[in-house]
Amino acid sequence: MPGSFALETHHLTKVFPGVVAVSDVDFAVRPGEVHALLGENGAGKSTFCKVLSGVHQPTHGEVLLQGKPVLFRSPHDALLAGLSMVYQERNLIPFLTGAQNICLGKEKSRYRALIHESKTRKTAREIRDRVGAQVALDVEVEALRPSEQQVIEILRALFHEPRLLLLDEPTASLTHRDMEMLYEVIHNVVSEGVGVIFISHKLEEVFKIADRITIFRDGVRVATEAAADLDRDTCIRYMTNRDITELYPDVQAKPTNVRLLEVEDVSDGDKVHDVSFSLSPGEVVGFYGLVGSGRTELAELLFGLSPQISGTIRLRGTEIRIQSPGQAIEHGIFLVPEDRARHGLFPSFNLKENLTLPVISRFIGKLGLIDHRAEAAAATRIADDEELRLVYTDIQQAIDSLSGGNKQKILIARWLAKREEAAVIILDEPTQGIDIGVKHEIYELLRQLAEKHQLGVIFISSELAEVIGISDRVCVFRDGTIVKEFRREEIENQEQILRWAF
Amino acid sequence: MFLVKYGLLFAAILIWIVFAILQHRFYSPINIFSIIRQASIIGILGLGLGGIVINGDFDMSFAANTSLVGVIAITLMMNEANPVLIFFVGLAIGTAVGAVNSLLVVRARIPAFIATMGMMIFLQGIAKYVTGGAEIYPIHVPMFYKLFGSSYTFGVIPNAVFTFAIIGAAAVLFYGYSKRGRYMYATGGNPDAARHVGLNVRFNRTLAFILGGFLSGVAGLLLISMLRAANPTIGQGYLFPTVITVFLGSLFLKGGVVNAPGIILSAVFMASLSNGFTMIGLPFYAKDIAQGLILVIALLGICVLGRRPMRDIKL
Repeated sequence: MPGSFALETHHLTKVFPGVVAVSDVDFAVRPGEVHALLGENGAGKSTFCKVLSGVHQPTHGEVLLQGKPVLFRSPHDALLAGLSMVYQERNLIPFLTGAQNICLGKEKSRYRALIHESKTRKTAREIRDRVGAQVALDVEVEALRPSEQQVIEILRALFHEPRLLLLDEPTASLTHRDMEMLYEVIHNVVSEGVGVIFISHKLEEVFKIADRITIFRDGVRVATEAAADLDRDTCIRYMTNRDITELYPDVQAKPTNVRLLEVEDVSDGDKVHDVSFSLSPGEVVGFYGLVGSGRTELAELLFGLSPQISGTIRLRGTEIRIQSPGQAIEHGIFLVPEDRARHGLFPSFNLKENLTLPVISRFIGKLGLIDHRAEAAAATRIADDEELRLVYTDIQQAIDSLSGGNKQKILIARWLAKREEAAVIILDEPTQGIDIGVKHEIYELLRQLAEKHQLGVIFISSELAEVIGISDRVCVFRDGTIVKEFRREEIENQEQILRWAF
Repeated sequence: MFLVKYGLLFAAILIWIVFAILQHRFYSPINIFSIIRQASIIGILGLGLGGIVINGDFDMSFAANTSLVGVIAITLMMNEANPVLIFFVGLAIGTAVGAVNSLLVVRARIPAFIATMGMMIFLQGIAKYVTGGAEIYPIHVPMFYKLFGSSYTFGVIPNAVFTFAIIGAAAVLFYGYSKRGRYMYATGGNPDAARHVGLNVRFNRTLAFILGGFLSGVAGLLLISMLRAANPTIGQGYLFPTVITVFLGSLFLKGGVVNAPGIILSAVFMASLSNGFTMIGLPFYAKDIAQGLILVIALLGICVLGRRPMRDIKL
């Protein structure tokens, strides 16, 4: 019956250039229910929610709010229509109090010009008490604990009297005790008839608070069932079930038993603690874990971007200290960063200049000046490397005119120029946002680097299938450290690994 | 895009033709050299500021630095100090100011605009203290300085032009063709990515501030050699023309990326404009109106026609 749902979607589809992020999703939330969304990283949950909340507009399909079709141009449109979203990143003004943050933009006024602080405080307090939250409203939010800040965010979302509340991993950074308060708040919100969409990676809490569960995989909704009818293993099977045989190259060569890199109990004093693993020449080691589980942070430590507080790192048996990326590179440890635009590419440099930057010293001629002809020749040689298969028209072309996959290849190629000095190459999410054909080329390139050139390759990814597909060994990260290691032949299915990651 | 790339050169040629038609003396060798002489101070300061901007920073204090170097050099001349010593003292002061700026901005991470603004006010105060606020001039200017800044070779070429030419050539090679220059562009273009390829971002930024300070010292010495006198605001008038020169010059060849040939051409262009306006007898305010308009129109050209945001210029 139309109108009996707080929110519905029909055939909702969102296409980004080269990627179908959300595909033909029919979905509904009842008033007064907690509806959890589950799925691996990149399965389309976040994009789906961003379409609901007006951050993105749907490519096809429609969204109905209380039975009426709506098209939100912005999150503000959605807010006015009764749909509030609380994002994973905090969006509070640190030096304002909780009450001031909650009422921001809608303060009660006095004499039509001044903010009526006491009335504003009163409004905020009413909302807080209604949902039974225990949080101080009169201190600056920067002085509050993360969970209290999270509650302030939810109260701010409730201030607009939404019919639907979207929570994107609200408990991701909370301690156990703080979660309980949050569950209590959500429970009270729901009892007022508000529909709640709850994204989480923690299966325990999903079973604890959700009435129904919808599972996404590769942008498609694969199941919606009552939480009572599902169990942990069924959920994991829904999240991962896929055919992985053709996409990945054959892994034949066995890595040697020589220890290239040995890491023992290293910590960065913040996000990484007590990590130990080793890497042999010719070996691809996959790092799998959720975002924030410490895999990227360990890569940054190994590359000298963050400090090593304790533990030892040995390269070919000799202990090394890496205090800057420059030192890491001298030791032959290279990193291809996750955020290509921010940490990798130079927008004002052309293709040639982007490729040669780490090896520019080789083209210094008379008077210490760059020999442009030698530089262009070397850049062309790197770009035409047959294993790389870079598609370009002119070695001087602007970097923005290349596709995402080719930009990724540039970042790898930059280090290929120093291949003879290389020992370890770390690739952080090298296939993110890249179409399937180029992904395949990158997998083959990584195997080549290991098998043919005898490098140690560390491959970081949130996509479990590809980690399993190309790695000789998989290290599973959780809460800042490696919790389990699997050899290739020990892996029977994805569930085995997911159990350790969640 | 061709129009944008060479627009500044076309504009320069255009004004040279217009001025030559309106005033036949515009093309006399003496006037041409006089234009280059005028351009030399802005050009040298611009090449220093340009390096700082290439690294993604900014410097407000370079003109005040020039003033301070000028008044101290003249004061030393009045006390009949050794001319060579004066020269080195001047360069040392300029360089030291650049080094302090780098400590404030690169090490202590104060926003460059504000830190160097503070430095500017401070240096202006010191310059006023040194002179007592007045115009000062030595009875006797050492021969060295006459040769450096105010004499003419073969009776027509002002010697100041040589200093500008040498620094200009060095800057073109350094910024455009050396390894360190490339690293500086990388630093300003994307500091995070520069770190990821192992560049020492702090070193590059520090070096640019120090070079900028050194060139302010050179400009200060050249300026007092031309004028044979100094006052506490002798350099301050060059602040905005130099800033305009650097950004106008960024439009030449590289469409919004600061570069040495652009700065040199744009310094000559600005000097031609000011010289030409005086020679054809336009009112005193015409120059300001023209300079402001030219800068804004040129930037419009880049941002609208070029369809390319000026990413490397963060001000």
